[in-house]
This record gives sequence, C-alpha cells and structure tokens, in this order.
Amino acid sequence: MNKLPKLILWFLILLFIQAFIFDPILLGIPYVPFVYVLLLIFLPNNWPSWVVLLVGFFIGFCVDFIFFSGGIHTAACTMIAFSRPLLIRAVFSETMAPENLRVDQESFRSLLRYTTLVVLVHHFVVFVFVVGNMSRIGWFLNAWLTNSLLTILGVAFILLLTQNSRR
Amino acid sequence: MQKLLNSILRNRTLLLFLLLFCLSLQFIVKNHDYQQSSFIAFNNDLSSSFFKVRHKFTSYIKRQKHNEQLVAENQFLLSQLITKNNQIFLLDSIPFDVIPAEVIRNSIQLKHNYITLNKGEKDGVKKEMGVITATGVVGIVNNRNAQTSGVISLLNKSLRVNAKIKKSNHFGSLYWNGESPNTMVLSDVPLAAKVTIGDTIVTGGMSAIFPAEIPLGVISATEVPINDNYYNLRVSLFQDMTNISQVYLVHFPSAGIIKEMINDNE
Repeated sequence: MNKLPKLILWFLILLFIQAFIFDPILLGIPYVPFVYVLLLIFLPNNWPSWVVLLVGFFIGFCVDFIFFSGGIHTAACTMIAFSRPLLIRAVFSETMAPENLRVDQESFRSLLRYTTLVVLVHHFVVFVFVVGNMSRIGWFLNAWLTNSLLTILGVAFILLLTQNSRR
Repeated sequence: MQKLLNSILRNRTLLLFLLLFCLSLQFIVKNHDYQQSSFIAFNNDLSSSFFKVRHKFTSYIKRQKHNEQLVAENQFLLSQLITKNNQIFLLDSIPFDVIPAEVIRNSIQLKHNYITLNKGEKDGVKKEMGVITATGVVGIVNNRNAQTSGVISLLNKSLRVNAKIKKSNHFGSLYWNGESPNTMVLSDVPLAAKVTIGDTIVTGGMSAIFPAEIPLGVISATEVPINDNYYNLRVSLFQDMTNISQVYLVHFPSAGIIKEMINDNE
C-alpha cells in the first residue's frame, strides 16, 4: 500500500489533464484522448477485487462529474475494473496469475498491448452508451476507433515519458 | 442459509460489480433526458466553484484570441465612429481606414518623445497618419520601414494638435510643455470663449491627420497670460500616455486633397 500517495498523485494529474486540456468542448473538436484510463492500468493488481471495483467506480464518477456525462464513464470504468483479471490473462501468459502483474516491471511493448485492450473495451462501453442506438453503427465505429486510437497514443506517450520514474 | 451465504461470499465481486454497474446504468438512464437531468442539477450545486476555476484557467489560455477579437471589433467600431463624426470631411465618400497596432517602445522622460509601433509599410502605414486610441490621441507617424513605424508622441514639445472645446467649438492648439505626462496645454483659445473647468476637449479636425471629435481630455485649470487675448488652458488627458499598448492608425481618406487645398489657400 506504500504506493498509495503516488497513485493519488497520478489520479490528480490525470484528472487535471482530462479536465483542463482534453475536454472536447474546450478544444472544440469531437475526438479527445481519455488519458485518465491510465489510472485503471496503474491500479495495483494485488488489491482485493472489491476495492478495485469501488475505486474504478469512483474514478468513472469523477470523470462523469467533469464532463457532465451522467454515468457513462462510471459504467465503463466499473466494467474495466471487473474484467481486469480476464484482460490480463488475455494479454499476458495464460498461466500468469493476474495479481502477480506488476505494471512497473513490464516492458513497454507488453504494457502497450495491455493498454490497447483496456482502452478498446473501455471505449466500447463508453460509446455504446454515447451513441445509444445501433442504427447509427457508422458513427459508433468512427467514434469508438478514433477515440481509442487517440487515447492509446496519449497513454503510450505518457508511459514513455514516465518510463524511468515509474521504475 | 449457510449455503446461500457461502455463495454470496464467493461471488461477492460479481455481485458488487452488478450493483455498481446497475447504479451507473441508473445514472445514464436518469440523465438521458437533459430536461430532467438530476446529475446536472447535482453538479451545479456542488461544482460551480470547480468550474469557475476551470473557466478562469481556460480564459487565461484563450485571452490572446479574445484580445484579437476585441481589437478587431474596436477597429471596426472606431472606423464607423470616426466616419460618422467626420462626414463633412469625406470629399469622396471613402470611409476612414483604421489599422490596429501595438506599442513596442514608448518613452516619456525626454522633452521630445517617440513611440515605436509594430506595424509598418507592409501593413499600409503611411507617413503623417494619426495614431489614436479610443480615449485620445497618441501621436503622428513620422517615419516607417517595412515592419515598424516611428511615431512622434503627443509628449513631444514640437508637436501641436488642433483641438477644440467640445461645448463651444472654440479652436486652439494643444501641445505639451514638458512637465507632467498627463497634462497638456491648450493655447490660442480666445478670451471670448466661455471656459469652465471640466469642459471636454476634442480634436478639431482642422488638419488632414486626426479626424474630428476624438476625445482628448478635460480642462483642469485656466490661466490668462498678462497682456494677452488668449487663454492658456491646462488639459488633463483621458489617455494615460505612460501606459499605452493598443493603438489605432487612422488614414484620412482625402488627406492629399485637403493638403492641396490648404496649400493653395496659403
């Protein structure tokens, strides 16, 4: 648990970036990277799963609060927090126990694969609720994939920047 | 009972997930309709201070853009105003042209002060253009190169600006006596004029440089030199000459014709 202060710092920094820089209304563009997803990746894997669920819920709630998006990010973050063990097993070796994954010890390449999967799932949930209607599938796919790409780029950029300090 | 408890305990993560997910779905459904959005109402109460801070932050970032917009608006309004006030001088009905510029160097300590502007020949600056702000006259363009232009400041003892008392239309000549940078002297106003302290002084428009009716300042003191038929009026300026940043260059559309006429008459 000695990582808690660091995690809280990350929480504040990423939410600040999300609120003050990557806001679609502020920037006036429809696509922005949701870099706060990185928080869900940084959550320690040895925490009890119910704690992770509650923390994920809380993170999503904060983002909804910033974007006035009323529950969409909460749902997506809760989903990620729940399905994290599955995602970890899917990306890293089948035999690896999810609680043994240490984000700060993994190579950039495997982290990126993991991030990509998390972002795709997260954004899928977000944009299912944003679009809300499967008859607008083109719009959905466009929003989902474009935003995912931007988020992955943003997260990869932050991961690269902080590569040394995270170790 | 024991079995039920056991299965709940075993699946507590799943149950918690379902609970939280349903909660967020509830948020989504409840806030689907903007009109009955309880989330936004809740947000408004709780987070107005957060959004105030955010607004301050973003408006700081966007201030450059806002400033540019305001300058463009002022440019438009100023040219409209000047054109309206000076219909009489518009010999060929071309409206007054106003060029916004910024002061990059200004001096006030000398007896002959000069100002440098960040607009030059390529922006359409010509010699002897008047330099004004919304609250007064700044100077006259003296020389210019492609990028910048030099302006004889109003705080230059060799500059005289034609001015008049707004109320009575008595003309005089406004100049700086080299004392306070906020006070000028309006001379050559005949004693016949009724002068009271606090009267507004505006440009006279008797030259092809400054359009008429640009506010300059108010009379702060009157004096009559011995054996003279003219007042020496102290004028305190509206425009703080020590603190100018945004100025506008005015192009008098029929400057050439007016000058020719003046020369012919003389």
